[in-house]
Amino acid sequence: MAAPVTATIPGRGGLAAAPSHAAVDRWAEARSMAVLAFQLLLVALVLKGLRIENPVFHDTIVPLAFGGAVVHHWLPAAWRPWFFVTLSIVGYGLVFGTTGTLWFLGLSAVVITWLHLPIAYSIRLVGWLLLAAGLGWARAGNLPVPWTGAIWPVFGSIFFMRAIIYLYDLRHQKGPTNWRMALSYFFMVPGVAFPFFPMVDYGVFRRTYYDKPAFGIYQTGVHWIVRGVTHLVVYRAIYQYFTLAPAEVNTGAELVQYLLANFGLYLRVSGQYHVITGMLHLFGFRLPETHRFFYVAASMPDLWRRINIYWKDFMQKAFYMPVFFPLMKKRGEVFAIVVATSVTIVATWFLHSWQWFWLLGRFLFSGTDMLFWLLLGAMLTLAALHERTAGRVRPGSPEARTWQHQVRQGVKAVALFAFMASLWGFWTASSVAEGLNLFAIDSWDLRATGLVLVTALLIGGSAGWTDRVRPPGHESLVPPTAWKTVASALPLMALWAAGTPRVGQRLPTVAREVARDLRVAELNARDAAQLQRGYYEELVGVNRFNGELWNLYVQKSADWPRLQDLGGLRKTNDMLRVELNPFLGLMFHGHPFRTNQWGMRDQEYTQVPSPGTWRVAVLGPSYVMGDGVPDGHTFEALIEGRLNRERPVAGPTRWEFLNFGVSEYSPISNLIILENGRVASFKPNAILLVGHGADLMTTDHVLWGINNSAITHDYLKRAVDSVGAVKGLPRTELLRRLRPLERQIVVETFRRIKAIGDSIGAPVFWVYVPTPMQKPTEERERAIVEVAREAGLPVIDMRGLFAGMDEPSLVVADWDRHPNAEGHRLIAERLYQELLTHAQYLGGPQNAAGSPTRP
Amino acid sequence: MDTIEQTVKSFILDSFLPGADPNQLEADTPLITGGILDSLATVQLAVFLEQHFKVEIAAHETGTENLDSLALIGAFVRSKLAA
Repeated sequence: MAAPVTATIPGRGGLAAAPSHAAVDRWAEARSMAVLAFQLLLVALVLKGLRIENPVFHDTIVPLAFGGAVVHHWLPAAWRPWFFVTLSIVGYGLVFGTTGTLWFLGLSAVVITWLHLPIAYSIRLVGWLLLAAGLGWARAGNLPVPWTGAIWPVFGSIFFMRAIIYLYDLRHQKGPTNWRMALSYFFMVPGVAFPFFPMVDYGVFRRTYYDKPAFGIYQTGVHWIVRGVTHLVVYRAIYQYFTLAPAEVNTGAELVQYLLANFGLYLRVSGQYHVITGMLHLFGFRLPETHRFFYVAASMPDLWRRINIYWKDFMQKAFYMPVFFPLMKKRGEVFAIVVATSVTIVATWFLHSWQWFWLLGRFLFSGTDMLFWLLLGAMLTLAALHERTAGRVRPGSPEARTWQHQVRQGVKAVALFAFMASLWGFWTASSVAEGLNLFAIDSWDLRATGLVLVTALLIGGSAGWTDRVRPPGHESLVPPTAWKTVASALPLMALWAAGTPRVGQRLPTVAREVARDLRVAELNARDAAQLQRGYYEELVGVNRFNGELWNLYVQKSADWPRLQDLGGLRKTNDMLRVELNPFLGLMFHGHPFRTNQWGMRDQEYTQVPSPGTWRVAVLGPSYVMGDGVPDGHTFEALIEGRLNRERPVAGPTRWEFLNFGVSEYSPISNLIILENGRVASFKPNAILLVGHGADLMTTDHVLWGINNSAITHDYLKRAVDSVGAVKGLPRTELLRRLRPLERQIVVETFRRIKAIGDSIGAPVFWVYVPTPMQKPTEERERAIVEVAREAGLPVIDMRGLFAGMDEPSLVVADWDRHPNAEGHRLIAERLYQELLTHAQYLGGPQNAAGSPTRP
Repeated sequence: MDTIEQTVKSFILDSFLPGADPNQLEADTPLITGGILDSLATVQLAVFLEQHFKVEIAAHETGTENLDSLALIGAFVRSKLAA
């Protein structure tokens, strides 16, 4: 169905092979482009719906690149590379902003110019090394620089990693520089969203440019993007449901689960690389595949050939061959294999650390890392020597199709998988001792045996089969059809659809929970802190390795969206205005944001508490909900966790703090969720009403009620009528009339809240919780505390909580003053101590004073 | 297929794919990226090219840019012979 576009000259300089439109049936070409554009639209929706991989990618780079690819195809061949370079630089501009991009381009110009100066290659090489050292010194924080730190990971990835290949090719380059291809190579558009970038070979990059019919290349690209997203979704499933912290490994089953999950996390790398190379295909760069069925490799050299293939090719080109080729002629194959493999492994180890440095700003020199590469190198050398004498069955040979070979492959693949999963588990440990301790398990049970058997069957069964289904290099000869791509995207589209309210509400709870979890890329921070992260996990998670870049990623994409912009809130069409949607799985302000089936920003709870449980309903505004902090890091969650760990109060067997906090909730909103039975339906034992200086400012809420004819409460109606505040009056006039009523409205609201709490057997206590850098006047603070007391609410007063602290370091961002995770931790710490002195709210006896109110 | 490609094809079939259907090995079948030639086999192929066609091959010329398909190998050897 894709109309082939005739390649004119399958040249080796790249550009010559770009398709000519002259020889093409324009109608067929337009039809093929329409089919492709439709697929790109679907993929873009899935990427956005599933939030792959960061906001700047799915919101900025994907529309730019997909739209650009369609335009790119119709341009004259000579213009295309320049269009690609321009488009890429626009992408950098959208992420880094004008100033950041100018610095980035300026620095890039320095390096590129230096590399092409008409001086001896050796001088250019030394100069490049000095540049790397100088800028590296700055990258490590030893030298102040005027540009944003956000550009380091991307700049280092291009000019101090990928440029190594470019330098190698430059040495052997014949003829003038092809600037169109060189600049395309440096600035390729996905690079700005993925600093951990595959080591694309410059020679291959040029050689494969439109070297086959165009639509076959594009279709392969879409197919690979879909495949990459599938990897990323499976990665998320592993992350959400199977990962364990090393400290949680005690039994055989836990050990097997830990090893499988840890090894499985590598899917994020293969997923990202598929997406990146797939995107490059859309611009005619028919790069080879980056990974191929690596979990079913049957020997160490086989794994080396399948996992991160670009790295293998880079090593082979820059290190292995230059050592092996001359040595083999002089000293024979065995000597050459041993030396060349050793050099390759040492180079791999060092360059991984070098890559780590540019991304994270520090080198990686750990005992587990060195041992990992040492063991891997030894195994690789031995296996290569064995292969030399025993030979190997190559793809395409008749023996590869026999069942005996496939059984042998299966057994070998299971053995290698077990070894690699164990080695990987050791590698990701924080120390050699911890790595060894992993394997000191207490018991081996039936579940462990079952897990091993199922894994062995899956790995062994697929090992011989995979190459038959899709032989190496298959897609370069037979591009996938659009139907095949769409079919392979169906599970992703189903997952995306399950996350939409219309489809989701018809699904069972479990399905909605899974759909929610798989839409979130990151672990919640509590789990992340417990999980031992491996090498690749550190490198691919940009929010962890470069806060500045991550801020750009989330800030630039959607201008710091509000929760309602992301579909987090739904309107109630009454005075409550909004409530949280259930089953949310968002990235909100840079952090995972999940809601449970009840629409609480909290973990799952049963509606009726289990016997012995002491439940506290927590009511309040956005910072109670946890705007800007990861799941599990709200102060109520921290207190709940600590209470259940430390059990400081006799009586209850378990504490549950249910988070009813929602953005924009005022005291009136809290009254409504008490009146409508939402809180009572969860049978709380106490109600913690969080107060803030802004609580007195209820005018906006009342104003909304007037303008939407939503005021039904008698006391609000009376107040509004008393000042003649009616719909249609100018806003300023309404505000002028309503503001004097704020205090009396809040007092009455608090009284009603207290009365409802008493009536359902859940006494309300009011806690004044200040937030950093949001200082109401002392008078206003005092006023709200007085209002709470006047309403008869017991008060816990935490005024002055952040006094003397570095408050700017406790907020989410300069432009968002909600408390960050550290701010929540400080609130939790103080409130926990306060609650211990008011133990009746935790199900314990009253304090000695018999009063919950702090003197 | 030209003589050079035919010669190289026979060598690859005999050395690395014994018994394989010759029709499956086409001019643009990926050899290195397709997993048929690993590093050792690539070197063996390079040595064969040196000895059979009396050309000299440097280490940096043993990559995919020259040896990833019969078509590329043919062009590469022809350029060497012409030099």
